[in-house]
Order: sequence, then structure tokens, then C-alpha cells
Amino acid sequence: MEKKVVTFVLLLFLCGSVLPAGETRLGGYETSIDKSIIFEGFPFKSYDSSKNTGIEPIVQAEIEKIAGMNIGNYAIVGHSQGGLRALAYATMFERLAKTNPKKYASSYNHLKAIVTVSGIDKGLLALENNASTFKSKLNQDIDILWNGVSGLVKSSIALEMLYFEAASAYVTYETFLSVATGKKSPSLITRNTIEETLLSYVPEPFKTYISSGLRDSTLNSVPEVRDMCPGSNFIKKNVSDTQKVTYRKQVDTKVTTTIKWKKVGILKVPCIEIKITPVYATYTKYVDSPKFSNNIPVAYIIGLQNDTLGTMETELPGLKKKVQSIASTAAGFMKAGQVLNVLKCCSITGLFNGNVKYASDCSKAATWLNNVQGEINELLGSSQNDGLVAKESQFYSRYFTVDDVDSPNKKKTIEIHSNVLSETNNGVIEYAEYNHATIAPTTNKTIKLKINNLLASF
Amino acid sequence: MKIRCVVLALLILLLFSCSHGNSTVQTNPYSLFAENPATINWKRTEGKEIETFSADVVVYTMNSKKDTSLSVSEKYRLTTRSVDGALQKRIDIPKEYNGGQSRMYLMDDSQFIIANSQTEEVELRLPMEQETANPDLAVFSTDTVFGRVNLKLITETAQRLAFDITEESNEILSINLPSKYFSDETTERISTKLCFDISEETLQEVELVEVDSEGNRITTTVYPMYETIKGEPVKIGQITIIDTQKAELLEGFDDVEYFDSMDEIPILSDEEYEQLMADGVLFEEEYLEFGNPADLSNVETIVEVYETIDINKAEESMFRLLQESF
Repeated sequence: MEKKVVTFVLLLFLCGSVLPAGETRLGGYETSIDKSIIFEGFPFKSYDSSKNTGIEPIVQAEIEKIAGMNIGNYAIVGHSQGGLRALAYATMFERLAKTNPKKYASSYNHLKAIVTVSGIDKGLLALENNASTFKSKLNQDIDILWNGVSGLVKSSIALEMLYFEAASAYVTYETFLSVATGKKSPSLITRNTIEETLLSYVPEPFKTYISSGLRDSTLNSVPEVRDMCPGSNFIKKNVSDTQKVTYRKQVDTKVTTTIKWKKVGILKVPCIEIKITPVYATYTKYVDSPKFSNNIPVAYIIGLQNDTLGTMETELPGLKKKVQSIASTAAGFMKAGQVLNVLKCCSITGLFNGNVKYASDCSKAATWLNNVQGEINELLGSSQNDGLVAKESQFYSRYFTVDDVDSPNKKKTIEIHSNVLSETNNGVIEYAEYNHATIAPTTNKTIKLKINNLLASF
Repeated sequence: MKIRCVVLALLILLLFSCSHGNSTVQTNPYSLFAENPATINWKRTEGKEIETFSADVVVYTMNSKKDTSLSVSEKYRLTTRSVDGALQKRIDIPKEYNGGQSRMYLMDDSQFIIANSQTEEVELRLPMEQETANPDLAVFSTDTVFGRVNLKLITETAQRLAFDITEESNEILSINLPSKYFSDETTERISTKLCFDISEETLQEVELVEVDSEGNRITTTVYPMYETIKGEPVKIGQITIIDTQKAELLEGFDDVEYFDSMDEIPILSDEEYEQLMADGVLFEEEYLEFGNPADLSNVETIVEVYETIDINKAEESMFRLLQESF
């Protein structure tokens, strides 16, 4: 049971971006400008991927719809994937206004601002490298859980009697496994069982997207997911051609001392050996190249409550508590398996029977289960996230400083997207208390008010 | 005055003898034993060797895909006690390394107990399944690995059973155990090699090679570490290398760029760092992995360092729960 829920959660977080958000709605807040239009998260539930070729046609349709409304000045407020579409909207609309000014210029000129709220503005970091990074990390997670189960099964304990308390009820190991995987005996469980179990708990239609995403290397069968990948053709063409560079920087120094005896002349003296080893952290530099006009002011409202399970509470009430309880119980099973295997290694038999590896496998599974949100953060690509979208994916930079080639030892500032709509310097407004779901501008009064205030200046 | 001079001279000698190591990241598992020398307290009893063995174990781990140095992953206290040839074992894990619950785990040949460390209240008492190990290998279960083993008996048994035995320079005795003893429905054992230090009569290395049901080749090598105290070898820890070579690559990673090691990543100066941070375009990459992401092959290094070792000092009462019946 534990595995069932934990693995379910693992994949469901990916569905966060595709949770039902309703259709793109027109109308919105009472502001000093005539209208604001909300682009909500992508309506995957009602969207038929077989009839579309990705996000671009949807944005095109949104342009056509709004262009035909003759609504006067307006702003676009985009939540989640709606943020990405809002920025693409500005780019695509401007192009159309230039190529067909008679039809589009007037309407485009009425677009006065864009606000993205927990926007997937740079693409979903979790889907880096066309989702291959996610696929790699998820497979490693499956390995950890699968190896943990194997290590426990091979610890030769009377598994049918092993139980722990979970959510005020006792759960036996066998019950947990058979309910979670549908297998009557632990010996019938394979690695594929773990993966199948994981996918079996993802509800349709998301399961189709996730399954395709994990197996289809090009993601062409799920173009909506493909277009949300950082650096996708859609993003490069319509939002920003962002380049990433990885660096390392020394952040600490580890000093270790050891005493060794050395011969100096006729004497053997203690010698202190000091080792100084640098400790590095790695960083990513984003060099953004936005396609949307600098004439359009943009504000970025960012959620930073990195609570994926909490994010899903709106759809599945009580999930967080349930998962935490069950993961904790499963960790108890794994810890017992680890200890059993460690104790068997007190004799040579344990060492050549493989108990050292089984102990390590159980230990890693226990650590994983005791740190579910941390593991989800790893899949999301950053611990600074709103439960789904990494902070760095939610906005574009304003300036970029480079060496001035004309004046040695001087720097010059390159404009990225300097026209921001915010009291903060970079146009970013952070809310540590909101996650990807609770920050939604359609339901959050504080966010509504903030947007009203931002747009009131027009 | 003379004493002062001698102390001064020694101090000068000590300072001059100080040496600076290199500046690479520390990944050498052996150095952890030099950095964290074990304190061994041995209560010598006439006619008795190692009857009880206790150690504060610090476990360091490093994975080749994720880590650049060994870091502490676990701490626990291990205690064993020999009673009439049978071994009682106990592990105490503090809450920091046990999901917030401090627990003690006890085991002998017949049962496994999980109890609350604070109250000693038994949470779980399970019968141990009897091992179905081949009786040919029984000779290996009589000794613990904390000190000398009965190498003479082991060698005689191995010779009697016609195991593959080799001796290198009268120093190392290697025994290859037949794989038929170990394969099961999910794993095929390819080889099992045990190496013993002949002069010290200690286990030096165990190497297992196996292939799992998905064709992945896993090599597990264990190196017990010993320190000799008054002529007696005492285990001070263990190094384990688990090398997993995946049979297949994940699909769809054709154009993905990656780093094989930290050394391949360009260094950012302090000035550049400050500027990029001020521009808001630099973000810490907390979960960078090394090597081809399509290849989940990895090498896991596990170093168990025994920091404080007590021999023949553990009280019988530590195993009281094992005396109670179901």
C-alpha cells in the first residue's frame, strides 16, 4: 500500500501541470484598464492531442478569439502553463500584427501587460532535455525502491509477520505488497511490477501522457508535453531562446588532519598531515533571449511553497497526510531489512551471501521513503519550487552584465526584458506561503488584489 | 630547562614535519580510517578472546553518479556477544538516522526483535526463518569477522570439498566458492571469491559477481579493515564497492550533454558569481548528476568506520530481550 501511494505521488506531481483548470476564460478582475484575460493552466483533460500539434495552435486560437472581441485595452494573466502561453501570445500576436496589421495591429496594441503566476515561463525544469532527465531520475528512483524490496525479501525474515503501524492501523509487509502491486507473493514482483504499479495509479487521461512521455523519446505523441520542455522549439520560437551554462564554484574548504609517524633522522616522530580540499557547488547561468516585445511590461508572481503533496491536496484531499504516514511505515520495513542484513554480515557467510548489498539497498530505500518531498524536489530539478515549477523557470531576467569589449575592465549591461511591472527590481514578486495550486489567481484573493494593484498603474 | 628544550625541539620537529596534501576532493575511502582513528578498549580476560564486540559505526557513502565526495549517511552502535558458539547481535540507531524514531534491533538464530530504545518496549518480535544455506558452507558461519578466523579449518574444509584454492606468495589465500550455492530465481551468481591474509588469519576481501533478472552485472567487493592491537587483529571498519553495470541504456538521450566529473565543469570566479547573482541569472544546481544520464550504471562506495570499539565490555543485560519468549 505504501509503495502504491508513494509511487502514485511520484508521477502525479508531473500531472500537476495538467490538472483540470478549465478552459481559457475571458474576463477577470476589476481594474483601471478595461479588461484582463486569464489564461489558466492547460486543460489537458478536455484536450485531444491527436487533433493538435502542440501549444502553438492553441495560442493561435486564443489570439483569434481575443482579436475578434474588440475589448479595448487589456492584460493577460497566465497561471501555470497559461504563463507560457501568455508570453507566446505576445510574441505571436506581434508577428501577426506586423504581417497583417489590418486584422491584428489594433487588437495587439491594446495588449498592455502580462502577468504570469507560477508560470512555466521557461518550460518545466522537470522536463529538461526533452524529459530525459526526468526519465533518468525516475528510473533511478524505481531502482532504489525495487532494490529495497529485493533486499528485504532476501533478508530471510518471516516477512508475512513483519508489520508496522500506519495511519492508526497495522499493515503487514505481505498485505502492503500484494495490495500495492496486485501480486500474491513478493517473489512474483519484478522491477516492471514497480513501474506498472506506478503508472496504474495515474488516472486517465494523464496516464496516457505520462506513459508516452516516459517511453517516447521524441515526445511527439504528446506535443503539449513536448512544448513545455525547456528549450523546446515552441519556446525557442515564441518565448525565449535561452541558453544554459553550468559552472562550479568553490563554496567551502574541507580541512582534515591525520597523524602519521615519519622517520626524521634517527627519530620516528608524529607528523601532522593537513589536507585542504575544496568543496564545490554547481550553478546554472541562464542567458535569456526573449522573443516577446520589451514594449509589453511583464510581472512574475512566484510561488515558493515547495510542497508537492500539498499542491495536490486541492484535487485529492488528505493525500499529504496519507502519503507521509505510509511512506514512514514503508521506511520502517526497509530499515528493519537493512538492520537484518547488517547483522548477518557479522559472519563471513553474510558477506558472501550478498547481505552487504541488500543492507545498502534497504538503507537507500528507507532514506528515500523518509524524504519523499526531497526526492520529488530532485525530480522537479530544484528545491526552490512551488510544488511543481522551479523558481528559475518562473521568470525571465531583466538585465545581464557582460565585459565591455570596448572598454577593458569595464562592464556593460545588456537588456533582456527590462520592462517590468512590479515594485521589485526584477519584476519578480515572491510568495513563500503559496504553492502551485493555492496561488491560482482565480481563487486566491491576495493574488487577485496584487494583480489589480499591478495593473492599476495603467 | 632540559625538559623545556626537549619539548620545544619536539614541537619544532612536529611543525616542520607537517605536510600539505593535494587540493583534490577527498574521495579515498582508506583515508577516512586515518582521519578517524579507532579508539579500542579491550578488557583482557584470561583465556578469552573476543567474546563481546561493540563499535560506534559511522557510515560514509558516495555514489559515482551523484556525489563528489564521501559523506556521512548513517550512524549506529553495533554490539555482538558470543554465547556457547551462538551469536547474539544488537544495533541501536538514533532517531536522526531512523526516520525520527530511536530503535534497538536484536537478533539471534531464532528471533528478530525491534524495540523502542528509550522504553525498551518491544514493538515487534519475529521468528527468524532458518537459513537454507548449504552445509558445505557452514564452516564460514562459525567465525565473526571482527578478529582472527579459523583459517586452518576453513582451508581444510575448502580442500576437502575441492573448492578452487590459490595461494599467492604465501601471503594471500584465495578460495573461489562454486556459484551453484548462490543462484536463485532472480539472480545468477557468476563468481564468489574470498581472500584471507595468511599471516594475520583475517578475511581480507570478498568479491561477488552476479547478474540480475534484467541482465545487469553487479560486482560487490568488501574489504574488512583491521588494526593490530598487542598482536591481535581487530576489525576497525569495512569498505564496500558495489559496481552496477546496466545491461541497457535508456532510450531517447541522443543529444543530451553531460559531465563525467566535477573537473569538467568550468569554474566561476567570485567576481563573476557576485555579478551573475546580482543580475538574477544564476541558480544553484543542487541535483547535478555525472555520466551519461541514459546509462544508470553506477559505483556505490560505502565506508563503515568503527570509531569507538569496546571488546569484552558489553553487559549481558543488553541482550535481555532475547531471553524472553514469544
